[in-house]
Amino acid sequence: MSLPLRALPLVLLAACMAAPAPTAAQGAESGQAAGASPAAAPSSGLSGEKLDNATADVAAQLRCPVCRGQSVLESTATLSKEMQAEIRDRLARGQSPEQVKAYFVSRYGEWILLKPPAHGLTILVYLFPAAVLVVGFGLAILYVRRRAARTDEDAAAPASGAGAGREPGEAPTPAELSRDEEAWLERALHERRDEGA
Amino acid sequence: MKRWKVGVALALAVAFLGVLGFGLTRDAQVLPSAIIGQEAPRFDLETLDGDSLGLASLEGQVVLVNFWASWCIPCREEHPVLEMADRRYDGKGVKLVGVVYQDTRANAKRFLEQHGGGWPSVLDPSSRVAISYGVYGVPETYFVDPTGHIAKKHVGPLTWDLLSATVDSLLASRNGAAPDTAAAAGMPGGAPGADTAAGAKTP
Repeated sequence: MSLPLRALPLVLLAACMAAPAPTAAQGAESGQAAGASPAAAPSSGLSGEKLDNATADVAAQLRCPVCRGQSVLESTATLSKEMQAEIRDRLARGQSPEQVKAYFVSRYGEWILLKPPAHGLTILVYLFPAAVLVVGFGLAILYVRRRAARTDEDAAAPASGAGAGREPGEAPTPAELSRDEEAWLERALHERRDEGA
Repeated sequence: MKRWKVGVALALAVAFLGVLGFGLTRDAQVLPSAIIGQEAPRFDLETLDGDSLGLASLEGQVVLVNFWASWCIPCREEHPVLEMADRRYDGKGVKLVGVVYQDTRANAKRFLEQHGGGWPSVLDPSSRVAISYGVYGVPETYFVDPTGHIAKKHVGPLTWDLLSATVDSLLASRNGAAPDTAAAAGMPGGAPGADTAAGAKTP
């Protein structure tokens, strides 16, 4: 009994949050259908230089549908000019830049946004380069470590051979380790072996 | 040691080629339309003859909204298909509406005088309606179902097979859905999705 009542404000809140964009779009639509400016639309729309700037700002974020990789702002295509007029009109009527962009997305899909949105599947576009970088770093580190370990091994193998019969007859080679080096190697190898265990 | 590296490299290469191959199967020209399933944007525009035509007045029928222009060569190619549709589906609950895209009234009229076509075409100043449908270029055709929702979008010249198959299936769903719609109107929430919307709108 009390639970549904308590849930009511939440539902209303959710409804309020969900409502603005669609109603604004619908309002604009009916206004367009009637061929007049929408009846009770907030007339707090932009004008003058602010409107110019806001129009250019939105146009720069939208893809020209008939071009290749050009924004609506850059393009000189007729459709781009018409889209700019549409953007301008909507901003002048008081729609926010987000609402205007949402309108174009609702008609052309997210493709119309030059910058893919950072949610859903398209978030991969942002994450993938970072993932590649991390994996690349990991592989690089692994490679360097491996190589270091291998040169240690290479160095260690003849050394132990020499250690079996340490005859001073031959000239000192890189395989001949000083006591310090030998101690370090022992320690390092132990550590490695412990890590492996 | 080396073998697994080769294996990983091979797997990565195959995966990469797989992605590229998948890309080849997709036509880059065909973009997913955001508007399928949405309510068809309404319009009330002036026809070439000076009358006014509203999409709302055609509700309950299958409507083909065909964006075209006299300067568009593929539009010329698809024109006989539209003519055939106008003839064959006459009086069967199917309406054709041409929307003239980036063209003048005089040129559009001349095109229709040359090529024929008795269905109405409306003028779309500043392409506002075209933008509201998400039109990229002409020809583009939107199939609007009897409930006023966009069922299908076709980019490029129509073929008879595609047009007739789409229209027939929409007509069949309309005839099949008619009792359901009535039931939904009597019992709100009885049918899900578009049927409910139709039931809510018709009365």
